Amino acid sequence: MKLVLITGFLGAGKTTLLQNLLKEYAGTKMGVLMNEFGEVSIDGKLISTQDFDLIELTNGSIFCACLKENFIKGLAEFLNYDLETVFIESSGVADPSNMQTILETTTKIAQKSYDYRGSICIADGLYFLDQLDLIPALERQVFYANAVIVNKSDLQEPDVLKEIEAKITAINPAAEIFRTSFCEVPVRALVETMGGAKQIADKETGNTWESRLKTSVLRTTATLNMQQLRLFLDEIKSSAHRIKGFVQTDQGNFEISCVNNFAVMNSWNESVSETEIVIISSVGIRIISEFHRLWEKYFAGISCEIR
Amino acid sequence: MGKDLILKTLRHEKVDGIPWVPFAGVHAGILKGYTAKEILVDGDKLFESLMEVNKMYTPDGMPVMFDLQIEAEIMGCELLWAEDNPPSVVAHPYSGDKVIPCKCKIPKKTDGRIPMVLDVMHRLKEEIGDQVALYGLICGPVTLASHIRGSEFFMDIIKDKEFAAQMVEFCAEVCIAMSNYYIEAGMDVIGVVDPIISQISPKAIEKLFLDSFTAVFDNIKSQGVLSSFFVCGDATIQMDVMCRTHADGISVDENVNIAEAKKITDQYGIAMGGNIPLTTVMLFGNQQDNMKYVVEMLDNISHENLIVSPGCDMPYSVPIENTIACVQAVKQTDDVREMIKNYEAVDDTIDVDLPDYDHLERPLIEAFTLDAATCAACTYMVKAALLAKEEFGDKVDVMEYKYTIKEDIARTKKMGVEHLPSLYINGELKWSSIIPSREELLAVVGPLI
Repeated sequence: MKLVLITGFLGAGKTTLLQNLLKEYAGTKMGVLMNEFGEVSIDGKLISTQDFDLIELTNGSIFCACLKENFIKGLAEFLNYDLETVFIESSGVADPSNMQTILETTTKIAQKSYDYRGSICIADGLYFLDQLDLIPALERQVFYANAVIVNKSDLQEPDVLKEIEAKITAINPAAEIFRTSFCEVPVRALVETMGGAKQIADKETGNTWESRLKTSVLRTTATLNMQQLRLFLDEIKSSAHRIKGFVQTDQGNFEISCVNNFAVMNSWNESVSETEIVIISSVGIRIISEFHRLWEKYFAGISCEIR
Repeated sequence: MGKDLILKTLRHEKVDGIPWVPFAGVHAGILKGYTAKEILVDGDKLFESLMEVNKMYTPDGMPVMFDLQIEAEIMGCELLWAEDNPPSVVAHPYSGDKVIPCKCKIPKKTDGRIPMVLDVMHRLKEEIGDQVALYGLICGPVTLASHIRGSEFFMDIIKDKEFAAQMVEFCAEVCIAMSNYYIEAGMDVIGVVDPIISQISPKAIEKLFLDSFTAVFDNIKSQGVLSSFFVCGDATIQMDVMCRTHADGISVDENVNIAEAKKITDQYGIAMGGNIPLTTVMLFGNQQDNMKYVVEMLDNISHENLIVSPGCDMPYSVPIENTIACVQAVKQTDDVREMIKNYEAVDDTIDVDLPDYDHLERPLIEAFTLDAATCAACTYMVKAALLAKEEFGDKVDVMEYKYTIKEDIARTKKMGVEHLPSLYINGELKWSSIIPSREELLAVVGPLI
């Protein structure tokens, strides 16, 4: 059973790549293990229309001690299914340094092992350079990757893209680099040519670090005014690395996705039981005060819960 | 109605009386003959004792549980239990391990003593919740950070500011989770009790911890619940920055001149609470002493935005009649003023000999505290002193004098100690209210050896 790890910072395009993968692998038996940093899964809903086996692990990183056990159990469980390929979509801040140990433990538990093909890292063409300075896990994601996809390249200047690629090569000279929009790469062929895990002694993962990222989940059953929502998102996004979720508005349901200053709202035709938005803060705990201030400004009197 | 007095005062509305909140934490136990430990671990005994507090002390507001170690215990701190005090933290899980705890360590509703506390909150709410404002008290983020990281946290503030800020941010997330549990259980006011804050410079609080405190208070406010920020020790210089945390009220102990501090809180439109002296007046004074303190306080301070309460968690053995005298003085101030007009406090100071500081055999470090077993700031001050003992062994002497013991009170007065806790070396005041880091302490003691 082949195993592929997908890494990349919040909003770089991991779920998009996974959606492409599901199309390319349609008709084959595959499993997906998703790990989101927030306490609810948004990405799970985005791909749930497809037919495959899915295990979701939320509220932490699979490489951090608190979820590692469930991660290993999840991997071991898939080995008992009749699957051809398993993809792991890791949380955006996952540090994969101890993947080797995790696989060894999985083999011990399951008495079977994976054919680990290696990892594909997605770099955000718009924000990679800023993020690299800020988030130590990104360097490790690139370092351990067999291939790096520089996504959203249509939105970036060629000179900056060159600079990004030079940085990636400096960190990992062996990685194959792809420039894409919407993660459009010949992904099945890529997986076939990936040469397995980089042979390096395991490092202790930096994933106690990511406990520092503050994630909040906003919930409300109220139907929100679309115009007010746009204004609210427009202000709060400057305090967030990533915002994603589903909202009920007076103009219908939407899936929202913001990465730094870049925001997208897509119409969502399926039912949404309540508005649920995950916000990953770029200003630490101050996001809570910011949130309450802006909610009062745009939605005064409308009750909501932020956890 | 009493409860309204508290709610209105914390909302800065006009009231026609002065609200009174006895902080009967462990002291509640004595009213029913239970030890401190019994009421801190047994919900039925706690509930029974709190009902007695309500009966005896006719509070307008009261805390349900006053134990700053609940969160720390769940997060792996080892506690030392006492029969007449709340437990104290004796071992810190992140001492020597400089990492920010994983979010999975944030206490859950089902962890440790939280289910017991929530159950008592629900029962009290049902019984007296419409007459008395119930306070849910949580351990403040800076005190919690020092609980889980130990004395090294004070070094972090100096040497690795970003780490200290991140640690407090994590602890603020614990505070938010705890506030949410207590709000769900019907608490009217969340008290964020952070005694250690008086030991940290206002500049450091502003730069490193203000966002964390503000998030905690904003979260409480967003749920339509009121809040108060409790501090122990001399927090005079911290008052301004505390006012900027978005708390609805601040509560101080006898180390702060409440009349002066209230001028600052009034500027910010924040309620002020305090500050009947816990030991000298409530524990060791008589009824007249208690009446006199309260009446004089009320005569010297504006009554809007004011809540009268003990300075902090009342000592276990406070004579019941002393607390009753306080109630009387708050509620019948004019009658009580008349009663005590000719009263002069008895001076029963014991005579103590001070060491001959000029001829000591070895350096002497003296920690003057409220009581290291009950006051978190004092705990860390004594721990700081003991670092010198660890380093130099028998080459130094370390003493603690507690303000809960009459002889020690006399010594504290004779030394002219102005603020507790303070650290003296060879008879000279070196640190007043501010806890030294290991390096600072060794730099002073080392050359004396």
